[in-house]
Amino acid sequence: MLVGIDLGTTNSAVALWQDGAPQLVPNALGKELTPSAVSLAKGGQSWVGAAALDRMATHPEDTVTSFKRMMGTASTVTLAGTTLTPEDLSAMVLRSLADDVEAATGERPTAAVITVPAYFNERQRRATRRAGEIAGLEVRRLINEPTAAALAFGLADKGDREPFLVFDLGGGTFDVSIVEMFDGIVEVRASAGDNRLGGDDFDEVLVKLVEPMLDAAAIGTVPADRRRALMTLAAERTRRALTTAEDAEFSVVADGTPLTARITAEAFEEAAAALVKRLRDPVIRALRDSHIDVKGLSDIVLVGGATRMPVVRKALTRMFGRFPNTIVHPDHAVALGAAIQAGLLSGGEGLEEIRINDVAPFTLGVNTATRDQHGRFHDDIFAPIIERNTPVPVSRMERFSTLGDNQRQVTFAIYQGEARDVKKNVKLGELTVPVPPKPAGEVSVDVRFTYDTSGLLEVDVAVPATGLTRNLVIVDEDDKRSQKDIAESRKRLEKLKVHPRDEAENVALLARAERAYEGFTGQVRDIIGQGLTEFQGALDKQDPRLIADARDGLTRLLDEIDAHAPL
Amino acid sequence: MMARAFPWSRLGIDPTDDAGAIRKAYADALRATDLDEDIAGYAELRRARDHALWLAAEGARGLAEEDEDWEEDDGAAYGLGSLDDDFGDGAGQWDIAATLDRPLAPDTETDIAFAQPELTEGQRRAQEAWDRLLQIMYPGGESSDEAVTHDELDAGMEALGILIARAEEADLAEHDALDGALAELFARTWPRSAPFVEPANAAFHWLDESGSLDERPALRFLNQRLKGMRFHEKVQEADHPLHKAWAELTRPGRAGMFDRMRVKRLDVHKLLTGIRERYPELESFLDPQRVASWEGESASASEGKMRGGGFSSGIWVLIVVIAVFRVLVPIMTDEGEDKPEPASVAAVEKAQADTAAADLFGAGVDMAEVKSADAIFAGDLRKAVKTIGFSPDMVLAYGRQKALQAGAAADFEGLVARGELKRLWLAAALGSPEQCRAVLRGDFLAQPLKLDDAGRRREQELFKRMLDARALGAAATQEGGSFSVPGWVVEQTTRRSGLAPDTVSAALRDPDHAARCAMELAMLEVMLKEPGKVPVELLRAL
Repeated sequence: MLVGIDLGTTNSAVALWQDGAPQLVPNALGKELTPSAVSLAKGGQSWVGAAALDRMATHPEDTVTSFKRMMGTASTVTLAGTTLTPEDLSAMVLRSLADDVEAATGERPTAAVITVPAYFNERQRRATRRAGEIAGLEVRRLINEPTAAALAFGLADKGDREPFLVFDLGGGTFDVSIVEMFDGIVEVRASAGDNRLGGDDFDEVLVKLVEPMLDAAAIGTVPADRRRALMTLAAERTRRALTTAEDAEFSVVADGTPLTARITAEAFEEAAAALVKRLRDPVIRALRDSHIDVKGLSDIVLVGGATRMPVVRKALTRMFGRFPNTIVHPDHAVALGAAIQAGLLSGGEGLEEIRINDVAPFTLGVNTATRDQHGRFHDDIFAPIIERNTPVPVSRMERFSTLGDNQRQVTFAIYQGEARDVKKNVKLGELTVPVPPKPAGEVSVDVRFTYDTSGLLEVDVAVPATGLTRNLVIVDEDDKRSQKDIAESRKRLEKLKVHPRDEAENVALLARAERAYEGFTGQVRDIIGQGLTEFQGALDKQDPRLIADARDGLTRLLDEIDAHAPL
Repeated sequence: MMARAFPWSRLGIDPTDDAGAIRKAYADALRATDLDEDIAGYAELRRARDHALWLAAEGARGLAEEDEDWEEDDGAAYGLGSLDDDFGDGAGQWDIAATLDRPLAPDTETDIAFAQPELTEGQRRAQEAWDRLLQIMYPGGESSDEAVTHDELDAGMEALGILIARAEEADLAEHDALDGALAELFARTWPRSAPFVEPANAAFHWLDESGSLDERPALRFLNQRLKGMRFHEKVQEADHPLHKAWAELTRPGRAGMFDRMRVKRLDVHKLLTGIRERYPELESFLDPQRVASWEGESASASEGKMRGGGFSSGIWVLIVVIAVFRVLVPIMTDEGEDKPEPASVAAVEKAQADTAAADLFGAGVDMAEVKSADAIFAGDLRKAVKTIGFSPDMVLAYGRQKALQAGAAADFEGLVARGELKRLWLAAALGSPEQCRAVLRGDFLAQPLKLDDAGRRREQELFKRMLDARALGAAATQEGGSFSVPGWVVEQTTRRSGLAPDTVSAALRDPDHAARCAMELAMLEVMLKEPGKVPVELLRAL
């Protein structure tokens, strides 16, 4: 079975193509969104999703979120003594989603279409594939998030659409795509983005804004990582509150002491101005590359929870001189689009006419050498071979010649990026070809890049003089030892203990209650404590009816407390 | 019916102005294609579609030829004239005539942002601010290299402020037009526009585009100037690594003995090269005499080494040259300043030794490091620097000789590094037979071998490897003696060099054979592929 998965920075979701439409699959807690959070305890017990997110408040050293930002890097986290890579963490989320599908349909998915930001580079994409494989899923396709959203948007009424802009501001990444639809063809004209811009950055801005307002001495007593976790969580809550109010209270409990500050929407907007400015550049790039004028766009489609922020909506309205389109559910569109792609790949009913044409998000090329006017030799100039936003699949060739007399060989290093200096781009691989020794410039070497629809880059180098050719398919060095590593990672993760599905609600409630307990003081804390004890008691008795009652009671209590502002 | 031409042939329809029909034809053709199997076909189909749509648009408009340039004319929005791509790297000749032909008042017919006949209040204010700024940049309608007066600066900043505020509240199209127009204006009126560039950069993030493939030409110029200005500020602070060199080069008059002691020659070189390459306008801050005196010193040093004689055995060359330079060194350094005090001699020598160490092993390596790696060689180097001076060419020649001679007695690690060095040199010398023979003889003075930057770096790396392997401090051995070459080495050498087998054998026996160089290079490459398999004597001998 092939499913579509939105593996987001903040939240993830899974959907299927069923009965001629994409359908989201709820998790064990009945929710369509599963927070991308993982928490561990000594002894191997693990939490994924809402429960893990709540454990961020109580066990921040053992919990991690936003690990999507680490994909493609070599960083790791150590939770409760277990070291995990970002691929491992993503795999845990993916596995949990696969569990949800199995519970809902009775069939365990074996393959998936996973979404990635359009602006994810090769390393980040490969890491995503690896995560899928560690989770036991064959990654049939990686689809760009804005393209997926465009699919969900476009297929809503199956009409033709003049070029529209997808504005996808998620938890950690920002993507812009200009997409056109006609006669069932979904065509991406251009993509641009910023991999380091998302809701998380707005949280940071809020934290920085609030810090000087809080009692430094009190907050200083909290150990650094716990402080960071608490502040970030509080910031996110406050940010949400500011979506519908003119001002909101930022509150955090440091070692039993409540610290609060009042933040106005205006102050937040001012503090976030620099971030908002950064939203402009990818939009401009996408417009320029597609040769489309702002006024020529038929719609602006908002995707990603962070687009709910008034400061972002205002900026968009200013930028485009019109109100953005909010028809598509910003949190669901990407997963639904992934399911549509999954449906397409498995010959789903109703999708026969649909085709998706995407573009290469980054320029691909090689390093070349030149001599400058001082006669100095520079061997780090980037020579593009496939320009960014070229429709994919594509095959392009460039001819190079030797720079030195009697050169024995030519080495091409393959890069992805937009900088003129290759050192600032991402290196994908290397290819060396021997050449006949001749005076400089007399030997030509042809380099052909072929980039196919699944994002695989093939490089062919040919020396016409000798007829010699060399071929390189860009695979990560990591991929070479990957199969063994992936199997090992999978085994390691399987050793971690996952709560049985039927306990999921109880586990989540416990985590939520504990988080609430930490977050309040005085009488409220006492009441929560009582509720917790009762619930724990019911669980110990293992009487399902008792447990259900206690669970309802505690849930109601927590809901009521959350509805009324703290203290 | 006539046969269809491209693009209609590819799309399978008759020529039409109906965009919808064209798209449908494209969609149908696309669905019938397996894209990955027929990549070229896909590219052709898209070309056909785009061309057909363009033709259809033409047909609808009823126009004949049209300019192929799709780019928005940013400049027109603010009466600046169309943008020519005539910005080269560094200071170019700006085509001011284009701006002067147009009246300084905005040409509202060509304004894209102000296409509506009615300007809003905000747009009107912005237009007026633009006109004021234009007047300041082109006083009296002429271009000027003069700096702005205080009043002009104030007025200009005020106008710029209004324009920046307008950009922030306007839509993307207007923002982009203003961004482009200001970049153009400042690029064209540099250096008069200098004080306005930083505030504009803060608002429009021009530096973020720096170094990118699609950096706009105006920005390419401005960003370099911006970086130059920032560098100029930073280098005047005491903690900047090149501050001393800057302070030295900006001092008037020729450099003296004390100056050369105080400032590393390497730093001066770095500063000069960096400025000339990237911020040429900053050279005007340096004193020409002082710069010349620093550059002149290395010139005379390189002349000196040319006088060295050529002997067949490497070490003999060095001794003769040392004798020659014992006389020359006092002459070269006598710039008319007093002889340094004895206390300073040690300092001078240390500085020279450090420079020599850096030249041989790479920037960042000093004598102390050399000493800790190989005390014997450190002593040798120090003595050599004292006698032959510390000019890079001499030091390099010394180092190369040492590596070749002493390295022959080294153990495996050192031998391999030595082999790599020799390969590097031979490869560089391949073009010139005399150069090649000189390398083989170990004569690096008469025919100094020039390597490019990458080659130099590699050489430094390899020297460092030999240093760490204590291969440089060993006593020199005499060349000569016989050695035997295993058959597989000969075979692979023959294949690799592309020479005839007889030539290879002949070249092996005769050091002066014309193909000896190529043969040795090939043999080195073969051996270095699997140095563990090669008999040690062979490694030593070659």
